[in-house]
Amino acid sequence: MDEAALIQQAQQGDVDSYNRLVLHYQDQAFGVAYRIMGDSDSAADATQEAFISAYRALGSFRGGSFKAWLLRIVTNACYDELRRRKRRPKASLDALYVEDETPDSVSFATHSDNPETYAQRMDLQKAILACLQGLSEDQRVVAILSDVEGFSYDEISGIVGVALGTVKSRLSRSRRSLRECLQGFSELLPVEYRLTDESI
Amino acid sequence: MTELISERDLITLNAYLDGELSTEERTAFECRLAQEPALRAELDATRVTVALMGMAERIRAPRNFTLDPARYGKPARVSFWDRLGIPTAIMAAVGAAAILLLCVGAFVFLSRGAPPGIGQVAMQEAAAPADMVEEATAAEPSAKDAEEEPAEEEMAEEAPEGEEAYEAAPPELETFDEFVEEEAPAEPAVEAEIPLTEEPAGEGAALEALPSEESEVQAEASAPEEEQVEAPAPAAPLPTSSPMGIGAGGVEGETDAGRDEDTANVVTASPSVSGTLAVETGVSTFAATETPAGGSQLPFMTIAVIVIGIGLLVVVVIAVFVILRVTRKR
Repeated sequence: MDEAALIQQAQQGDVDSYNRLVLHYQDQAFGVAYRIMGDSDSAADATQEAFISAYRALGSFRGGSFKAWLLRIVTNACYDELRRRKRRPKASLDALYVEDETPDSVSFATHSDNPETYAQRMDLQKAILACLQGLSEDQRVVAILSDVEGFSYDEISGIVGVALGTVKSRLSRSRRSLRECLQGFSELLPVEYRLTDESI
Repeated sequence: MTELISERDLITLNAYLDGELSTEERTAFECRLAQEPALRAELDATRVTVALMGMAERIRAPRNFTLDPARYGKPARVSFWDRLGIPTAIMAAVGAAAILLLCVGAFVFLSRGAPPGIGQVAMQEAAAPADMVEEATAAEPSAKDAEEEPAEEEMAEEAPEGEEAYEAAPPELETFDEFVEEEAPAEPAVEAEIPLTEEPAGEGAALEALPSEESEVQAEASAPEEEQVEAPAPAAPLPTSSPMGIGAGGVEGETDAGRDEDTANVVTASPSVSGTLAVETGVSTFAATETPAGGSQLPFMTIAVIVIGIGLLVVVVIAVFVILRVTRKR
């Protein structure tokens, strides 16, 4: 995929070229949104909104990492959705539905033929999602971008729009919180990854 | 254990783990790790946490988020200049240059005064009374005789004479301007004025007939005749507050242009004005109004007009180009 050519064509109004970019990045965009939002419906809404916004703002893209630029829009769409959620709290039944959201409601890119291995993987995904939801929004975004998506500090700083030092401090605190949270899921974690009380 | 580790050390530890430290920082931190077991234990626990988070699997999107071409088929919002196919920086530079030209031209235009056409009109108006009074004082033995002459006749005679004077005057004034340009002191200017101010008797009576608003002239009228003749000499260098640093004659001509024109008008209205006043005002007015027509102001005004014209031309060209490109795109 010639990303630069597709971007240029999309900037000239070629929706088909833009849709090829969407297909290429939609899993990653939805994954980030899902882990930020905590439920698949909100994540899908935010992702769709982000792709529409990105298409409309494509003229302002001046090169660089398209993925980072796109994920910044996705992150902002998630923040907007979270703000809307705070202004209009969902009904109790909806809240229960959200709390019951598990990684089983989404499909993962990797497959496992072994049911036991698959179950362990799902447990770990559930633990990670739950611990991420226990973080503040700002810490959560930084943790996802760094430890899940693998962005560097500079890239995170650009995506989130904060200073490098802020990224470092948020990441440090989020890892501390994640470690304490994951300790509560130690029986669900692989043996080699079980954290002992001594290390905390 | 972690209580012993400061927030700053935790940040450094995480940066070390992510490979975000410089070589020096990394070396220093590794020295600390070798000496501080608590720091080492914290590093191991953080490394496990990061490894666990790294096991988060890639999630598949539940559906495609592609856009409907029928709905979003319109061109994406590209910046205006990009749509024109012109680099934004170039257009910004050209636009800025055009605005700069306009500003410079306007500044020069305003700072140098009225356009040449206006100066020529003023010069024509001012030259007529100057010669009119000059002739009146030279031909008439007394101001009383001048007063007795009908104004209509004098005006009828002076109208063509004024034009002649306008044509004949430049050589004298060019000489005057040459004196000014050569930074000559006030004496040459005075010399240029003195022949004109050598007037017959009757000046005092004529000056008495002047309106009261001509206080300076009245003051001169009260002085002896010799002093009146010399009066223009000190009058020339007095207003030396020229903003352009021009010579004394030119200074007076510019700074007192308005006043001199007013005085000239007074002279026109009352032909019996003394020769001293008439010549003084006539020379100064002539110097003020002749300078923009053939003197040092003309190049400035020409440059100003050219600069403004170029600026306007650039702006018009840009506007036409933009309009053509936009209409073609549509």
